[in-house]
Amino acid sequence: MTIKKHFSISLIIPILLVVVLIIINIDNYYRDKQITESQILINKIIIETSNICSLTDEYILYQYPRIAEQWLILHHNILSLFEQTSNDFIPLLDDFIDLGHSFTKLQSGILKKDTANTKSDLAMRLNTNIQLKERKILREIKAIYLLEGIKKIKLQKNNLIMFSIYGGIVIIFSIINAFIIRKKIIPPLESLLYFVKSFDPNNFSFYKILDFGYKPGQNELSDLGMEFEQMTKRLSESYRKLTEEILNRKKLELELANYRKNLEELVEKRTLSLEESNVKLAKSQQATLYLLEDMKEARAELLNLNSSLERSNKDLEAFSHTVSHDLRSPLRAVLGFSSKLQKHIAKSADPESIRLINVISENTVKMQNLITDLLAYSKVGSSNLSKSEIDMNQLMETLYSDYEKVLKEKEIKLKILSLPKAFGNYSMIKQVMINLLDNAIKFSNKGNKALISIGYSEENEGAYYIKDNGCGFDSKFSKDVFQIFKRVTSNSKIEGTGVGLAIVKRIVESHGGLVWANSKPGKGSSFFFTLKISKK
Amino acid sequence: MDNKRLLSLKQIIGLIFLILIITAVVILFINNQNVAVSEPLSLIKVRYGSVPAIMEAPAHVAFSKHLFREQGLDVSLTLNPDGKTSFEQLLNGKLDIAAVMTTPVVYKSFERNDFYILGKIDHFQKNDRLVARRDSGINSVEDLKGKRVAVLLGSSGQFYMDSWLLYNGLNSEDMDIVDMNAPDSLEAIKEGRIDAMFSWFPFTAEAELALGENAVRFPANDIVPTSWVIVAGKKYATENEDIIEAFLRTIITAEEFIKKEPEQAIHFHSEINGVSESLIKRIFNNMNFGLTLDQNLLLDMEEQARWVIRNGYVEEAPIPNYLNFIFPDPLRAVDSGAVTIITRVEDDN
Repeated sequence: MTIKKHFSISLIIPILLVVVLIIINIDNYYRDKQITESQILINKIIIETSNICSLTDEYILYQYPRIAEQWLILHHNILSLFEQTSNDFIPLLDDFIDLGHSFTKLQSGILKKDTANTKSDLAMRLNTNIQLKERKILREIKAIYLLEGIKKIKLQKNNLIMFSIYGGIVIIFSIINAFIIRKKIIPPLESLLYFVKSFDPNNFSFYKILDFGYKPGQNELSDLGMEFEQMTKRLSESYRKLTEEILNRKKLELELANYRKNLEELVEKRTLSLEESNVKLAKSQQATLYLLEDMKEARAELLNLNSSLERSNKDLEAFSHTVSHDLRSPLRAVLGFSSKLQKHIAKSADPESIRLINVISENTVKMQNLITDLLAYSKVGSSNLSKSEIDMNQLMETLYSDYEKVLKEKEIKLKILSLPKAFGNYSMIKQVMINLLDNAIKFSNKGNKALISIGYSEENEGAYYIKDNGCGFDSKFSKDVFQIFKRVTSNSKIEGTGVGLAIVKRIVESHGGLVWANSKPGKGSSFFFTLKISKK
Repeated sequence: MDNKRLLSLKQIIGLIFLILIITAVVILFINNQNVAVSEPLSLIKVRYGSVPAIMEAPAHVAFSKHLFREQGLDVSLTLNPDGKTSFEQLLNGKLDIAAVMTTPVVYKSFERNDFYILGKIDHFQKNDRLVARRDSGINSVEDLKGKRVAVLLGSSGQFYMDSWLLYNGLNSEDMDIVDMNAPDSLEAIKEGRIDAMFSWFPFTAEAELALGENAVRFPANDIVPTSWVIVAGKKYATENEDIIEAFLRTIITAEEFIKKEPEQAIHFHSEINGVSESLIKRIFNNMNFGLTLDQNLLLDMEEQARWVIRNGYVEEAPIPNYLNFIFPDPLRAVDSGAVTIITRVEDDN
């Protein structure tokens, strides 16, 4: 039997015994209560009957109406008490009713005031009769009371026997239980204790729990013993590993001590060298400080220079802007009057005069163009650019319609490849494309399979390009072409102010981009520029 | 299956604590409800006739401790030298309730039946009731012959005297009887105007104290069944049954207080009757108060009635039915166990 079952039985049996005992006790309690209530009632009847006896004596002595009244009240009360009693009282009840009749006769006889002899005789007889009846009733009631007492004693006796039997059962059960515990539980526990005490992790294999009388599956304690054995095995294994671990650690500690010693020496050496270095560093720090002070001064000078340069630039821009504006008005006058003069003298004047006036007009136009370009150039630096996404393909379509006529006249083929969208100021970028396209047209050879290609190269982070197969220029001038008023061609037939590419450079750089050119004489030129590409 | 308990151990303990706390709060609340006795807005006035006798200690304690007020009564105390005077004042309508020995009640029972006995104050009293002057030549019972003996006629003192003399083989006619109330008797015996006095505590004790060595004490006997009763007019009692109940309830409360705090009770009693506490202490510890209505009261009264007729103090008449002079309902309502007298109980019918 397992210990769990054993404990369950140990618990259930006493509980059952106690429950049965409680039930019996409750039954006894109610029986006892019934007897006690009966006794109380009989006791009341005895008291009241004794009282009625006293009243009878009193009445015989004094014949007061008060006594008769009380006698009758008491008689009525006793009858009421009789009604509450058991069947044992039925014969007595009849006697008690008779007693009432006798007393009524006694009372009426006395009250009738019969002759002295009759009264005395009647009173005496009735008195004797009543007293005998009263005593008989009292005696019998007391006998019933005694019987009730005997019943109670019997009940108590039964109770005692019952308690003794149950007590005996409980004691026997406890003894048996203790014996079972002693036999089944204590020895395995003692063995286990001995096993635990004699356990040596270094020499575990010598001990087996089975050697201590344990049988697998016998009960929880045998299971515990087996588990304990397993645990000790694991413990022994752990102990072995731990011992190894400790030995390893000791070795490591020794090595570590050696390392530490070497390290200390090394640290000592390094400290010395570090100290030396520190001295040097202190010196170099001092030198750095001096250098920093010099740099500070130089930076301040540079800043001053920069600001004065910015001022100069601004002044220059303002100057060129003002000059351009101011020059345009007299030029428009010169151009207007030249035109009028041409018309005026077209028929009357000599050819030389006409040629000279034409020269004046042409140069005035040139100058106006130059001023326009200069104004554009100066605007690039001064205006704040509002930027947006630019569809470069659409821009080129617009330009193509403007240039279609010129291209036809010059028999130049224009090839526009797909261009990615750019991000920048639309007018400015358009100006860049116009200037580069003007430049390419300008340097393309008429009728010689002239071709201008516009496209986008993915190489080198990507760049827009405009290529022509015109006369080209020496690559050593590839940077000069972007300088203002710089012309790298010696062909005077090619018109130009020398400002267009400078404007291109300025616009591209103002967008954060780069511009460059590749060219070879007779092989054409390629102009590249980068812009921020819109990712939308 | 989920083996989780519905409530954890902590929760169960917490729940038990909570129930205990709630129970404690409820009990405290109920107790406080009981403790807080609120005094009624208007108190009912009751005129009560008392005497400086030891039997009146419960009434005196109730008066001093304001126990009557707790029951809604405003009792005014009239302190008379004897119960006979109080009883006459009650019959004249000057008092509502009075305390008196049964002797004056028995005397009046032959003339009128417009009063009720409400309760009997049980008391065990075996103190001296006869004191005499030694210098009057009184050393024994026989020496009382021909001496001037003071007694209040129509009082329990007279009944005691007759019974005592009978017991000792004497007759009241053998002496010169002087009708005198208790305080006057005390002064008279001190001054030597009388030779002996039949009275009661505290007057007999004060007389003994005043006379000192000159006092002759005659031990009391227990052949005299006199009872100290609380009476009220029949009309007043029937119309004010609730007042009577409140009054009797207060007397019972005072009796309980006397049992618990006798020292304080003596102090209250002393304050009202003017007798020193040390004198009261001489007999107070032997007292055992209790408010009842029992058969002995009837026997006592009938015995006194026979005595009254036998001595010709009233004209020849039948013994009254003293059941008709007893009103047990209020006491039965207050303490049902206190009424053992055989009467018809309405509930039984």
